[in-house]
This record gives sequence, C-alpha cells and structure tokens, in this order.
Amino acid sequence: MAGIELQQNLKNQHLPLRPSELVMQLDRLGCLYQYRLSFMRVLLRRMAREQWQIERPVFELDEAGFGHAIYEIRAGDCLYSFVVFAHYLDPDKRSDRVIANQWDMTVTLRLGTVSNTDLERLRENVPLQEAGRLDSQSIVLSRANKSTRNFDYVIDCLARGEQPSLDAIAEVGYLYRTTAVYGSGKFGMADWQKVCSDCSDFSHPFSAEMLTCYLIRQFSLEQADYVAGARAPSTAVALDRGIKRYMGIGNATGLGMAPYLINHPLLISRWIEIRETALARVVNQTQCQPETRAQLLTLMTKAARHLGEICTGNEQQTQINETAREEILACANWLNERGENFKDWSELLAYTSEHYAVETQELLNSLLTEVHPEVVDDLESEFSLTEHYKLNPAMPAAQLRALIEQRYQWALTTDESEDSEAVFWYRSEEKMEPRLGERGFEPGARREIAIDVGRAVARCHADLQAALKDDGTMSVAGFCLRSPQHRRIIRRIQTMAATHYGDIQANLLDREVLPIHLLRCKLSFFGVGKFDPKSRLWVRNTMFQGAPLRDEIDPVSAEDWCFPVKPGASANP
Amino acid sequence: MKSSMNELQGLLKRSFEALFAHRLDFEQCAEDIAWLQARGFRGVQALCQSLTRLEQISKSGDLPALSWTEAAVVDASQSSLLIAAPYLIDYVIAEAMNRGEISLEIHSADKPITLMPGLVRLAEHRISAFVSWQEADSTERHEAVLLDGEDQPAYRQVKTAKPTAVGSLSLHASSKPTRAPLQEPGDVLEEKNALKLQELFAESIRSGIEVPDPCYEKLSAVANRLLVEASEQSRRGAGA
Repeated sequence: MAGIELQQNLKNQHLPLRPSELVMQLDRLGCLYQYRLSFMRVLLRRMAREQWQIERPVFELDEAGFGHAIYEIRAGDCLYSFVVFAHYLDPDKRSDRVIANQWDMTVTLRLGTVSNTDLERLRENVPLQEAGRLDSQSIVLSRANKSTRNFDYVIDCLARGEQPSLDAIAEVGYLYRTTAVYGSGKFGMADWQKVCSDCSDFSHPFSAEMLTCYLIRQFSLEQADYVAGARAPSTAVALDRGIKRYMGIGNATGLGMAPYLINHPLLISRWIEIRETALARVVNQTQCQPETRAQLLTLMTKAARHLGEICTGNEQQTQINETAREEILACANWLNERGENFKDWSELLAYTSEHYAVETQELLNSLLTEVHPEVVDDLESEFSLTEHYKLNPAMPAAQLRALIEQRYQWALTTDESEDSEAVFWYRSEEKMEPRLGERGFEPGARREIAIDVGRAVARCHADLQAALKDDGTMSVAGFCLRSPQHRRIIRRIQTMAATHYGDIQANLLDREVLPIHLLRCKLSFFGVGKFDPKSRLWVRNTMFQGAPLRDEIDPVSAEDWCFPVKPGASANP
Repeated sequence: MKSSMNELQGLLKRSFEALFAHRLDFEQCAEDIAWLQARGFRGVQALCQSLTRLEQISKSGDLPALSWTEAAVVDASQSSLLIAAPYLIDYVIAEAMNRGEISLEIHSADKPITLMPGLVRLAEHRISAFVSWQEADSTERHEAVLLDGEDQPAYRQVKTAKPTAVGSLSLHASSKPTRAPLQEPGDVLEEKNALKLQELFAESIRSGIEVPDPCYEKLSAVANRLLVEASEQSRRGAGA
C-alpha cells in the first residue's frame, strides 16, 4: 500500500497463509497449543545444540532446605549465574497472587559470576521482588511457591525410601509454581537491548525467562532429594529420574499478561505469522510420506493420552480436553483408514476444520509442525523484531480513512450495546496489578487503561470522516493537530497495516470477555501445557513437564518431550 | 538512581497519561523524554521543571494549542514542546515532504530541547534540518543540525554575546539536498555529534540511565494518580 513502509517480512511470504479474520479471533487464539517453535522448545534445542553446561558450585541449604544456591550456566563464551534463595514461608502467606509479598523461593538470573558482595546485595533485594532493586547485570527476577500437597508428599515418600505414586504426582505435576517472571529492564535489570547485545544467548524472545523457569524446576527437584536425604539419611532415596522428568514447574498467570498482548501488536502479529508460516510450509512444501504419517499418528495418540491425564477442577476445561482427546483420536482413525496412499496434508486440515472443534484443529496444526522440522526449524531465527510504531504524517488523511476501512472493518462494526462496554481495565494500587471492573458499579473507570483498540480505531475513523468533510486534502499531520488524541492509534494503524495479521480482533470491554484466551495465546507461544483455568481471569499451567534434566540435555532428549505422559504408561490411550 | 530504558519509558508514559489522560499521544511524549535522558540531555529534569505548567495546560483542555498551519511565526507561550513537539515534527515532515521545505519561528517555546528526538524522525523521511534556540535572558544558544543522509542530529551549545528578552526558536527543514548551515561563531560549551550520541545511548543501555532521585519520586507521584484504590471488590477483578 502506498505510503506504508512494509515491516521486515518473513521468508516465503508468497505462501498462502490463513486469513487474519480467522486466525486473529480471540476465541481461536485461546485454543492454541504449544508447538515446535514455542520458546521453551527452541531454548532446549539450542542448549543441546550448543552444549550449554550447567553446574551447581554453591548449594548451602539447611536440613529443611532453606538457604541459597548458585548455578552457573556456560553458554558459548558467556557465563551466567542463577541465584536461588529458599525461604521458610508461613503457610497462611502462601499465595499465587501477584500482590503476595513473601514466597518459598526467590531467584535471579545474572550475567557473569556472583561475588560475595553481589550475593549480599542480592540477598537484600531478590527476596523483596517488586520492592527490591537490581542492577543491569541481572536479566530475570522471579519467585515460586511450593505445591505443599506434592512437595510434602514427595519428601515423605523419599525419606521412607519409596518413590511417590505416579497417580498422585500426575494430579499436580510439579513441586513449585512460579507466580511472576520479570525481565526486560524491570526493577533496574538489563534492558532487552542489552540482553540482545551482551547476552546474545538470550536474544530469542523470553529465552532468559524460560531458562529461569527451567532452573527453578531443576532446583525444586534437587532440593527435594536433599531435604529427604537430610531428614532420613539412612533410608532416603533420590527421586526416580523418570518421575523427575515428568515433574514440570507450575505457573499461575493472571491478567498482568493480558495488556502485553495488546501493547505489543507487532510482536504478537509476528509470532502468529511465524506459526502460520510453519503450518503453510508443512501443507504446501511437504508431502505425507508413510514414515511422517506414522509419526503423526503416534503423536496424535500421545497427545490424546496427555489430554486424558490432565487433572483440572474446571468442568468446562475438562469437557474441552475430553472433546479434543476424542476428536484427535477420531481424526487419527480417519487418517489411518485413508491408508498409505494419503499424500496431501491440506486434505487432512480440510477434513478437520469441517468435522472438529477449533481446539482440535489447532492441536492438529501444532502436531503437524512436529513431523516436519525440515521446513519449520529455520523459522526460529525470525522471532526477533524491533518494535517501532511509526507515524507517516505526510499520508493524506483520506488514505488513512481508506486504510482503516480496509484493515479494521472488524473494528468499525463493533457492537454498541451497553454490554459491549460493560467492563473496564485499570491498574490497582496493589503492585499496579491490572484488574477488570464493572463500569458504572466500580470506581476507576476514569483511569481506565487504553486497551480497547477497536473503539479507538472507530472513534478515529468517525473524526476523520468529519475532518475530511471540512478539508478533503488534509494530511495525517493536519488531522493530528486537529484531533491530537488520535495520534497514538494512527501510529498503530499505519504500522500494523504493513503486517500480515494486524491486531487481535476482540472487544476487551465486553461483559462476556474471556481474558484467559489472551493468556493462553501467549502461554502457548512460551510452550506451556495443562491449562487449568481458575476463573475467566487467571489460569494455572505447567512448564517443562517431560523435559530432560540438566545433565540429560542432548539433541535427542531436547526434541522428544512435548505432550508428556506418565512415565511407563502404555502407548494406548 | 539508575533506571533501565524500559522502566523509565514506563514511568514517563504513566506520567503523561496521568497528566493528559488519552487526549494526546502520551507514549510518543514519553519516548522522546527517555530518548533525551539516555543521551545526557536531562529530559527528565526538564519535564520535572515544567510539571506545573503541564498541569495548567491540561486543565485548560487546549491541546497541543499551536496553530502552525496558519503562521510562520508562532507564539507558544500557552503550550509546551514537552507535549507539542511530536505534533510540530509531524507538521514539519508533512510540509517538507509535500512542499519541499519549511521554515518556522516559535517564540516563548518551553523546553525546545524536546525537539531533538523528533529530528531522528525527520531523518527517517530523509529530511535535513537546522534548529537553533535561545531561551529568554540566556546567553547560551543551542543548535541542532541534521544533514542529508545522517540518521542522528548533531548538537552544540555556544556562548553568545547578547541575551534575548524573549526566548525564540527557529527551524528550517528541507526534503531537498542542502548544505550544512553556516553556524554563528561563539565559544562552544558543549558538543555532541552523532557518534557521541550513539556512545551515550550505548552506555545508558549497558549501565542504566541516571535519573535524579527527586525527579523519580516526583514523576512516580504523578504516575500513581492512575492507580485505583484496592478493595475486596477490586481484588475479585483480578480473579481472587
């Protein structure tokens, strides 16, 4: 389009990608699964490929497991330190909420080694989390709480010399649960630009945050062995390796993550475009061969078992999982019946979209990327993007109007009913936590977060219409002088018009809005699984379940851990 | 204190949003101040000095209140470039692109240094520019030059013989090839060329950006006006 500078485009842009009207719908984004290019998958492959070494030079815990530990990560020419403080926490103060101010474990990932002086400063600040202050050597700050049910049970078993029951473990799937993971310059830490230049090992989005979660999981397993051994030195055994691998790290994610997706549309659009490009390559550049077909069938069966093993107290999620499990098995049967002459993946996708729910469609899309790494993996390098929302002030205002009508039709048809703006988003005085309020009934609407892209576009369009009636030759600069409130959304419109997918198409003010769809979308790109919604506002999930332990990472183990199932379980669902 | 760029931008965005709600591009205003601070131009201090003025402008409801389209000489005493600079730069870009060049004179401009980051946007459109300003009763003149093909402006501050009674700013921008302007003589007090600006920015990213504690506290107090009081009801709004 004239006047619009195209963003850096992906390779193979000529491929037919699914349309934004389909892909950018919030309810579909809320059905995404982790896939081959999810960030924790990419991280582990890189760790294996580059042979990262993880050592534990300091492990100073008391018998109850409280104290500190330092892990050193050697990646290429750089050395990083992961510093853990394990604390006693009054059970009454254990909370998943961001507003908590004490935790079982607090951690930071830093560039370089940690001197005694560093350690003392970290000891004073890391346990305070948001209330502490770090420096630009720190890359990530995080904390985690014990799943007391699992932690105490596992320690008791190990101390007695027994392994814990897999069924009991499977109910939760982790020993600790992270409740926030901060990076990108928060609390004085290193900016993303510094991470990219000085710590290029973490130049892939969120890779430092993912490594931090991986190491929290690692520490939790080593701490469990240690505490059991300290409690009963003569009888205790170490946790079985297979069970350790089956243990992930839990995560609780709330509304704090939602504004990120709205405030970084370039990034999200790119992530979606990469996922869709991977799928389009599989469909258009590969053929279904007997061995890939067999691989896919195995994966479909494994994914069905994985879904069947998820324990969630959320009835709706249980039903969603069950439907996806049944449908992916039915789909596997259909594929099996087609025999070895079946060649065309697009036929499979067409069949799935005609017969099965969106959740199953997206699950199958994820699985298809697994069986064709040869056309998918090089897209890893496409995730990095400089976010720059540029205004083109010389563009004629009439052209801007046409652009809106072309790219934001969904915004111009926004429902105007009372229910369509029944809620508002605001920042609470409690740690600036984003919250939802009911308009007209709760205070704060005058300070609401500008999160409603659709309405902002529609208002801009209406004012443009009026302005162009007065002066049909007006430039965007002239319009911004006349209506300065629209400059911000115009920057976004002009920038996003140059992307394939554009903005998420959702009304976030609707009474029935489901923010967990936003959370799940982002979490799927991280690579998490086992979504366990606790309400429409927050979700528990599991990271790195099935992943190799720090001394097991190699090119094979780093590949083969998605959709984990109970160790030793039969392959039949 | 040392702040990261991301953290500083966040604080500045919330501050501008608290001052003006969504009536202007608070994100661009914030990015411009952070740009200045990361390159040693004391943008945060400039913002803190003008907070009272900005509060008054916000109450007057007249944003950004400059009529550039109507005159080549503008009285800016009722506004501040802290919020108007992005719009002025937009106008300059549009005029230079559509007409070839533009000259402006602005009197009583508050915080003219705020135009510096906007010159980078001019560079993105291959527009060259020369800006000079002198504040009222000051004997220091500031000059910023953006030459053809450069992606960063060069800045210098010189001592002049005579103070001016009214602060004034002149700007000339052109989308045509232009020669470097003849600069008036004077003792150079400070000079930052494009390379120096890049070095300063790189150091800010490497070690953090220095922000005076009183400024940080003052801006935090402004930004915190956006926060909504907590209650059991509000905690339910986060899923409690």
